[in-house]
Amino acid sequence: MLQKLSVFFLALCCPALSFAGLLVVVAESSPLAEMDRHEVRQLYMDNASRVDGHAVTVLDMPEGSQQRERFYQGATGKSASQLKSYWARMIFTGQGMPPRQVKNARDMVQQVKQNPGAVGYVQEADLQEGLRVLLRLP
Amino acid sequence: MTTTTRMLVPAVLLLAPVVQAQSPASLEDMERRLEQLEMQQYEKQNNWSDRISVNGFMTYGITRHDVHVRANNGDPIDYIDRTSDEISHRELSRAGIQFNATISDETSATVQVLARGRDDYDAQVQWAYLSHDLSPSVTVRAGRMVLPFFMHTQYNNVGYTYHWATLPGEAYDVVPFDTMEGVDLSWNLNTGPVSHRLNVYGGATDVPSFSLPAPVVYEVSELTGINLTSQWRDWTSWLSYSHAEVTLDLTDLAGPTGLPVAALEEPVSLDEAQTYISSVGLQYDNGAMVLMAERTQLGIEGWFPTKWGGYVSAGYRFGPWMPHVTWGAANAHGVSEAQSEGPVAANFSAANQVRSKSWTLGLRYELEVGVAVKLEAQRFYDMSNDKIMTNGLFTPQGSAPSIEEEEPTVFRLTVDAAF
Repeated sequence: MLQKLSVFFLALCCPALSFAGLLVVVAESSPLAEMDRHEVRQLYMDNASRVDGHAVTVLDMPEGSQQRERFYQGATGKSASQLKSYWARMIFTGQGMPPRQVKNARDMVQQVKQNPGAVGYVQEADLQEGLRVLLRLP
Repeated sequence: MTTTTRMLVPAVLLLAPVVQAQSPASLEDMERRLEQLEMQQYEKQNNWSDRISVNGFMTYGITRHDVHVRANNGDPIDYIDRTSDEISHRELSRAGIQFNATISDETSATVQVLARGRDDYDAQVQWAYLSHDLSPSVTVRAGRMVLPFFMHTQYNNVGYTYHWATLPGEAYDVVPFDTMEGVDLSWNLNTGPVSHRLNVYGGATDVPSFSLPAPVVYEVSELTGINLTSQWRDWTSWLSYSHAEVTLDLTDLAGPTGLPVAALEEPVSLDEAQTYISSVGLQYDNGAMVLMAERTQLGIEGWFPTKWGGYVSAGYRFGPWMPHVTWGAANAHGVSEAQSEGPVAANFSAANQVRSKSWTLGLRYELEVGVAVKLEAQRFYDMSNDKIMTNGLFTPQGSAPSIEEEEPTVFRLTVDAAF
């Protein structure tokens, strides 16, 4: 009976879990401290290769992925086409390149875990051991 | 023991090594090897795609104006020397491709090629430079680069990056040269919540021009400039100033114009004429509303009139649609001063003067991320007053009748892509 009740309550909680936002994550061993939304925006838009003196590799989900759109909407307020315009200006005037794109969510987790200099973003559901959260996006 | 059990015993003994192989220690080994193999594969791919990146842009456009009056020599009247009253598929069409190779964490090499329909798609290298990060916020580049005269000059060929089909002609069709060979330095810095990019450059260039009756070469030396881009929230501001010495030998025009060579030497030909180019601009974009404004100026010592141009533009995004409206103006002064340089100089000055205002109505449609379709119409007016008579950006009044009564309008339809 107790088992059935716990399963019942877990089932009630699940819908809440599925609306969770995105998490900006680094490897456990990363030297980076918590960031605010403004710093994350600078990291992803201003082509930063160093944060607090540490070299960073910024990782992005592939173009066209829903997660990527949600991330940029939450962190920068920009739509996919605005981003495309922005990066086109930067690329064709030689002012910078967009962050490296991974293949999928699993690839993102893998690369962040294995590289102490990497910064990426994952869904709440993909959070694993070996990752540390820097910022929670709504 | 039953018969079944007796048969099972050797079976178990046979299977024992297999069972042993499935022990936790070996499973871990296999998982680790699998991870290593996957990592190697990712690394190999990442190494290649990290080193060289290729990006491109393309525009296909058609344009014409609606002034059917003919110039004095019977030819159609041209808008900015290129667009006539017949539909052209070439004037606006172009394609560009950029190769960027990472040499090290701080150094990279970039080559960007542009091919325009109006040059019969003859590829020209617009950018070819080495870039080196002197520090995380300072970058130096050396080679050929597009000059940053005005707010959008350096990406003026990447139509996807702005909402017009072409950049406002009053401001952007003024300076006859656009690239240089030289060095530039960029410094990114923040003052509180405002981020800045300060850019200085120095170089020289020789630019052939084919818009006069005979080809001439603008020899630009001592070219130096500085510009500042500042960004705060949804606002971006732009300030720029450039200086150069321009030498322009016009004696080759003697044949085509019928003028004696002596009449085309100095002061009509320019020799190290002090030239300055400046602009101030502002942009606002909050995702829905877009505002842009800019004021540009070009001054060349001598008979060439000082020209200024400007525009104010507003647009609003409704999903993938963005209607926009722009008011543009251009004017020139110094034509009367050119009288003192002689009749030829005075004539050239009058032919180069400009006075024009325009309203542009346009619509941009985002077909998908990276591809936009644009339609716009630009109506010109106020091209003359009792002091000066011009046809604005159209074939000058020396070579054609006045066209202001024709309510000249230029139409453009383009498809812009960035990939």
